[in-house]
Amino acid sequence: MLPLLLLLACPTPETKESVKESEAPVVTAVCTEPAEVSCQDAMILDLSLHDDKVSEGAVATTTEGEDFVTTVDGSGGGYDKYTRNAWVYLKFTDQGAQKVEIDDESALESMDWDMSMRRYIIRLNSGSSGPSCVGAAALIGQDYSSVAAVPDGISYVPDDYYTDDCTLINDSSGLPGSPQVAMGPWWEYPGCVKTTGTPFLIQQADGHVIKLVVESYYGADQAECNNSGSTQASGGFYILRWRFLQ
Amino acid sequence: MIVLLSLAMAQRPDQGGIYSFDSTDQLESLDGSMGMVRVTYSVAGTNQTLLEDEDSNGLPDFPEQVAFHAEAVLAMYADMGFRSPISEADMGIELGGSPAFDFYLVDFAGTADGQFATDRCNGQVCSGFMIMENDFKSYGYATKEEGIKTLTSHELFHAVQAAYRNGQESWMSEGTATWSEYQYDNGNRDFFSLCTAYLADPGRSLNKPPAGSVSSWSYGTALFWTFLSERHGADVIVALQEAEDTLDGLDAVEAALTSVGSSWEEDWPLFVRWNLGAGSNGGVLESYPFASRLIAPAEVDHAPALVDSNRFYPLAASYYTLEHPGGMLFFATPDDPTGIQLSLFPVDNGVVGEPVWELVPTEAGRWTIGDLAAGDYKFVGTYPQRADESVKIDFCLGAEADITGCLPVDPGDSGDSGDTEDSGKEGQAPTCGCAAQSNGASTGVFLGLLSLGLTVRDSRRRRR
Repeated sequence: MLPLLLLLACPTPETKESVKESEAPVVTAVCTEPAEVSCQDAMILDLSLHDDKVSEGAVATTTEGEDFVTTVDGSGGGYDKYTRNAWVYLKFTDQGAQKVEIDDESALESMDWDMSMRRYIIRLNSGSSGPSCVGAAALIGQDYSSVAAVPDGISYVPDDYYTDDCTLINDSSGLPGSPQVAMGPWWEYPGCVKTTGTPFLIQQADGHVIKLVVESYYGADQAECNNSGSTQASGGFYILRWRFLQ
Repeated sequence: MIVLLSLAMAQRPDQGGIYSFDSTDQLESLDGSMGMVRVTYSVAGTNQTLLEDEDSNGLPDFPEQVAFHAEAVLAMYADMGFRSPISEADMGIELGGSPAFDFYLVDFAGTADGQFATDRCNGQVCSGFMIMENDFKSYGYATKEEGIKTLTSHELFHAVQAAYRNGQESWMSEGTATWSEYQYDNGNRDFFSLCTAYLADPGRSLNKPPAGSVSSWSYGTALFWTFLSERHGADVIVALQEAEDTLDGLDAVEAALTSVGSSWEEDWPLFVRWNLGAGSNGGVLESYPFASRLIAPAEVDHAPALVDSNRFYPLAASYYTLEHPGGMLFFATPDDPTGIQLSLFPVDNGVVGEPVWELVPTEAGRWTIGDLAAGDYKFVGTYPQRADESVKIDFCLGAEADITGCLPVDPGDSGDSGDTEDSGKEGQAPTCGCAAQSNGASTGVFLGLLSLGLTVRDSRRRRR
């Protein structure tokens, strides 16, 4: 009886299966075959991709109520070392976010990952970033807790930060060479990486959708940055809150 | 290390902004002896500066040192031939209480240590001011004076840049500002540290810094600007800034190289070689006067046989160590390597010597390098020109058995590597160096190859 009591006391996060059972949504794969990623030559330099190493950054997931809470060490070894270290790759699963052990250049041919991060840049496996079709919709002005379902007619945006001639499209942060990724609205730069609290809907290649918010980039020191516009804390230590919606 | 924050049309610290004085600060100011600089500082309050007054002249020593070094730096730039920073008067404004260039000493609390910010622009040129750390407490500088010398020389060069073009590309803007640190103080540790950051990632194109906030690598391109000024004099950096009047980025660099009678093809391979002679490698190859204070460039790989697939990016270099067991040595690639220059340098007791083999390949093939003694060799590849993409090749360097995976394969044939002919056996002259001459892709660096006569090219021809 003990396991049953524990389950009653602590509801499990929404998983793909539970979503399927309770709401019976029609989930259709968005893509099943990898597409060729253009501008690889430029991207390897622009984003400092590596073919000879896998990120040592740790990924761990716990549960809080119906949410998964995932910590990701996307620091890349620190401000002065990140270009020499690989990106961290994640897959969102029923068991939480799992680290995908893959090097950066192999990731350009792999559909096994959904999201990748190093320092403040979060890439999705689609478009400019990868061969899959993971997309995001930024729900600007909304609050994570208030997002209960996937809105009708929502459209998901792939990463798309290269022009046809492989010139990097900058975001609006003012930081040079910062790519305009689909997940960009999670942060602002008043002098440090401030979280906006913007929730995202992220659609995986198999059609399932999660809602996600970046709660912290500086670990426990995020409030200092958000409140003052500066911090001496080390960046890249993500806390993600998410759950399956569909 | 300097962390520059870029703000356009920023508020001055006595007006507000991220780094500013507050209501608790009691502000005073002093002028440099040449009247070129005014330093405003707090003697009480949140941003109080260091108040020691060892010479008992009634003025705190720290802001006095700031004014002294700032004026010395500006005088040095003028002697070199650079324009002076655009003055407020030129922009029809007077801020800070005088027409002098204004410094403000505020507490950055470790988040940065200095910043040049602009007041007003006319076209691409701007006037501005300097915000600087108020005491350097808990910073990594060995002395306060080291911090002051580093900040004044670095940040004031941004003010000089703004007299030509404000907002130059970051790799050039930060690299040349770091170059100026060394010009003012040839023992500057910040400069050496940042140059080392460049050498930690030499395979990156000069004009392609990592994405995101300006990295140490961008500052570290100072090594290239220092190479140029060591080779051509500081005039080349003046020419670079003057070129920024109408050009930007690599176009401006190219104009500067032309102004001193040089080119990418001439200077870049030499820069790559100077870098090879840095750090523990140094002693034989021509290199920087401070080469021993650097690290050797980071290597892609080191092994008894080098088998790799590498992207040789333009204006970058890839370094390897071959741990040669001794005997005949060969190089082969199945891909078109046009544009790449390859070199092999012996290593004796850790010191890199003059090259024993150089090659400018223009087609897939196999080359016999020769019978070389056992020992380490540095293998270097570079693509010394502007280009939109890298040259990506598979290659093998090693004994004959090690290069079988890199032999060119005739499309449609069995892949039997035995169906090719040795051009040397056909009586053709060894052509590896000649190829460079015929396509104009190589100049002085590779002239030595012909006299060395060490390379026989075994060009693999397709079966007709």
